[in-house]
Amino acid sequence: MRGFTRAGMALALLATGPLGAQATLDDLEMAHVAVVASQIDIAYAKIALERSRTPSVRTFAETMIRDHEAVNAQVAALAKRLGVTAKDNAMSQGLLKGAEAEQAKLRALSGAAFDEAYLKNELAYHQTVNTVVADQFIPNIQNAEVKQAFQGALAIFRGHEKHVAELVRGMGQR
Amino acid sequence: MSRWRVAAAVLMMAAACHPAPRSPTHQVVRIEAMQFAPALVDLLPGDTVTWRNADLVPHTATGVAGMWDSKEIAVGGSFTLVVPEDGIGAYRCAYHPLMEAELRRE
Repeated sequence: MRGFTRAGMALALLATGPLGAQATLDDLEMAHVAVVASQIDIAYAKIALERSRTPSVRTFAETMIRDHEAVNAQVAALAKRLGVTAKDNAMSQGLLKGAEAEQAKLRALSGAAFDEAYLKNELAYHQTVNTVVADQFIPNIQNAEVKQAFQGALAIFRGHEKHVAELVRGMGQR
Repeated sequence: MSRWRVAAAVLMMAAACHPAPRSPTHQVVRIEAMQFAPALVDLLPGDTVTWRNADLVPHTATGVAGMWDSKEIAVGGSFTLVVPEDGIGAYRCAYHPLMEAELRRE
């Protein structure tokens, strides 16, 4: 069964819940959600670099920072080229609120307990975000360049999901 | 059979067993959507391979046996390797270890 993180749950609820976000978010709002989702993952990774000494966990966290910063830089470059600004919205706010609680939980852990919580959170978070991006966002994006950027980013994030799934599987075998 | 004919036959057999070395080739591997394409490249030591990073994030091409390593290939960047004698075999991205590919001896 897929786990749901607090941030991921917030995203899932907002994407399908009473706000009807899948029908009402425009391209610039979806772009904002994507940027915030990456910023949250960078924040989780920074906590991992503070708290974990496990090489595979640290390598994964470094990759999350490197990749999400790269993707966000390209979203910013695209927005600049199109002369637009990503728009804050309820889904972005819900994501941030959910992430605060998860970050507090992670900061209270250390050692193997931290590694387990971080990796499981990363798996659930990527599963949820990737599903929302694939099923709710991409089909509804109007601008062709924005759609292409989301499709490219989704390939990266699906790679992350597979990577962390391997780490979680490996953790179960230790 | 004359001695010359025997010698010619021996030479032809030797040539068949040891074909003349071909000129080095240059092949390009594109990195995109978290994949090396093509994932399998047939070559010989001394051939050249260029990896072009057309993806949204940095990658590496790193020999699994540890004989060569591109280090980071930036977005839009490239790395060229003259394949060393011991450089044939599997390689992967050090940042994304599920991205695997191979340089195979032809």
